[in-house]
Amino acid sequence: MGSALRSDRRRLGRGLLAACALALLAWGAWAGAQAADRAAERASSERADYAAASGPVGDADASTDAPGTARLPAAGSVASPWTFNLQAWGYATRQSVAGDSVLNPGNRIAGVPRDLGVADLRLDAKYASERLDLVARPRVLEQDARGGVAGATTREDYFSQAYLRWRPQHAVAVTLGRDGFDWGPANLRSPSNPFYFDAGRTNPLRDVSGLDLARITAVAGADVLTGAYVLRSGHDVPGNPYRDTAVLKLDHRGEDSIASLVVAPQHHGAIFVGGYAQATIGEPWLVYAEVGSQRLPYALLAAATPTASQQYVLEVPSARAVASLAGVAYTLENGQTLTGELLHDGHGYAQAAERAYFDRAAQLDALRGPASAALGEALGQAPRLLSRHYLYLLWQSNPNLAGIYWRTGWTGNLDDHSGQISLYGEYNVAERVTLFGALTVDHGPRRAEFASVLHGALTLGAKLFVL
Amino acid sequence: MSLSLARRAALAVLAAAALAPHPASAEPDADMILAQSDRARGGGLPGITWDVQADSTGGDEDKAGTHMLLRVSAADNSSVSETLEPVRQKGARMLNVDRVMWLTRPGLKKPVPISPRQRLTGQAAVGDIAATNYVQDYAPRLDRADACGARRCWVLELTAKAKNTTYDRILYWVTVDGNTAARAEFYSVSGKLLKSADFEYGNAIEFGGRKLPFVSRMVIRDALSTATTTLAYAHIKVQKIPSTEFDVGHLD
Repeated sequence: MGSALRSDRRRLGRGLLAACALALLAWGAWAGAQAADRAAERASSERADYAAASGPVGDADASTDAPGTARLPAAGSVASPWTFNLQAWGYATRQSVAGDSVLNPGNRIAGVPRDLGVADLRLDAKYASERLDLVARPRVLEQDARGGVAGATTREDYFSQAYLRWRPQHAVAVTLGRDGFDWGPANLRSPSNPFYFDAGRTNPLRDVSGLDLARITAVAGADVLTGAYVLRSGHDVPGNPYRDTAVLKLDHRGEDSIASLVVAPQHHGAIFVGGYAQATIGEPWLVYAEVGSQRLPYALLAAATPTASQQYVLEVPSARAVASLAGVAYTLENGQTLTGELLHDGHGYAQAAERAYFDRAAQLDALRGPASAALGEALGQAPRLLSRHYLYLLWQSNPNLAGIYWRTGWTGNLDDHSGQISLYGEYNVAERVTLFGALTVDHGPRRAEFASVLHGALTLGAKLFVL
Repeated sequence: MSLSLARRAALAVLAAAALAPHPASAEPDADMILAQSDRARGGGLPGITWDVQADSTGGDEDKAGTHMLLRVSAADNSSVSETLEPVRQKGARMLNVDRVMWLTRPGLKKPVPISPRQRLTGQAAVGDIAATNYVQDYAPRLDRADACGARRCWVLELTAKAKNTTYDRILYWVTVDGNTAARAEFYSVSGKLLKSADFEYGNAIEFGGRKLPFVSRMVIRDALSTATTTLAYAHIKVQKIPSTEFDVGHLD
């Protein structure tokens, strides 16, 4: 653990050095852009001359006669290009582990901790100018696990995002560094995104790291074209499966809609093709769909000729399959939203294959000893979703209003008839302190996805808004 | 007695002048009035940034009221706002491109699409903090002239051009001498009054070589309750906004 901590610190140090190098490059680019701007101004004689007097006219004083405390900065003052946001989260989770799990008998395989304590420090720092943005989002995450893996404490220091964004022209932006490259309107999963299919759903409280990439975006009226090259998969994803992936994405924006097409040749040779579309109908309705076709890095299949200790084989990469999602959301007059989504994931098991998956695991359980590694494989390399057909229902409050925020949802596996109920709520107890809680309850047969390892989990925590 | 030819000609000219429509009494152009009033609220400009302080009382807000400070960039029918206060909502951003909207905030995994029905805060909708382009979304008709305080106003009836516009009908009081909106009443398709707003113009911008008044405050009142939201606008800067600012892929 000590060597792991030193390794993390070395990575953090390298990251800081890289950030400094980026900052120097950015300063050089900014200085060059400033010089180009001054030359353009001297050459142009037709640009309209707009100026703003942000102070009051006549007897009116806009910044001091508003009701309540006047918080607007004094007229004439210049907004700072720096913004900082510092949050400290602390929360504890109690998990109810299924002792009779076929995949994790007696919790001997996964060693799922019964209790988790997490301290999560999140800083968002940004420098924004007319042509250049610098963003750094360092994270310090310490997790203490009890029961299952007794006494395991881990600490992660990393950059969730750290990038330079340069706008050489008003319609072009170049981004270099670690950046969140996420898109798609869906809540349950994102089939249109080859990197973020999960979209943080399996661990909703954890911050999702960006990808190490270079990208360029050009806007031409209603169309937005993005080209990117992903060098590394970022902090969160083991095995670096997204390395050396090129992406071409074309968005077309209408008055009430947007559609996007994505093509991404991946490092293992196969090409991801996908896209999404969403439309606003009237004031309250939102409809959307996502689709993606690809070969995944691997697929766990039942062995054709199983032996006592080998019940599965790994197909590398997987066969090509399509995932698709259709969704609809309705916003009530009070701002609450009702959402429903149907998902089909072709990379999941058909019903017979899922039964075989659990049957093989039960046979391995009976062997004990040498079968443990195979059971670990069954758990760790299972499909991203075990089955193929899912229904998701969500009801949530207006996120823009102050006070209490809540959401309640249900995810159902329509193939194996299991599901998960989820509740989440936040309450602002003070200007800088929010209490929150989350509850998940899994239900269904033991040989089904949602009830196969956990009965549920309860989390209670607090967020402190420092800056 | 007969008149001389010269006197008859002079009388004919005077009669013609009396009967001819006077330029000052010609029907005002409702489209032009609306376009000019939009400019005093951010419309028709190449781009604009400003800070908006929103204070709400009554209605769904708690008894202490709520306060928000936002930094807004807007151009044409697009706007992006970032929450600066309160601190627990700091960093939240909302993007609006025509009628498609997204919200993101620290802790969210990715921008989420939201409906235009989502209110920003209190009685304020997203359109109240962004640049106003009523001339694009509404067909104006000059209804009448009316008094608005110590001034005279044209009253325009604005009818939504499309079904998906936020309000189906607006009554809009625009000052005759300044072409700035003084008051608005917002109606549903059934004719029910939803809310009303009053405007002040304590700011100024320079545009086309002239100094023009610009909105400094908007007070929005709910028609069915005591809920009120006051928007105060400051740090107005007219500048072209990079179009990449309105790309959801950069909403982070």
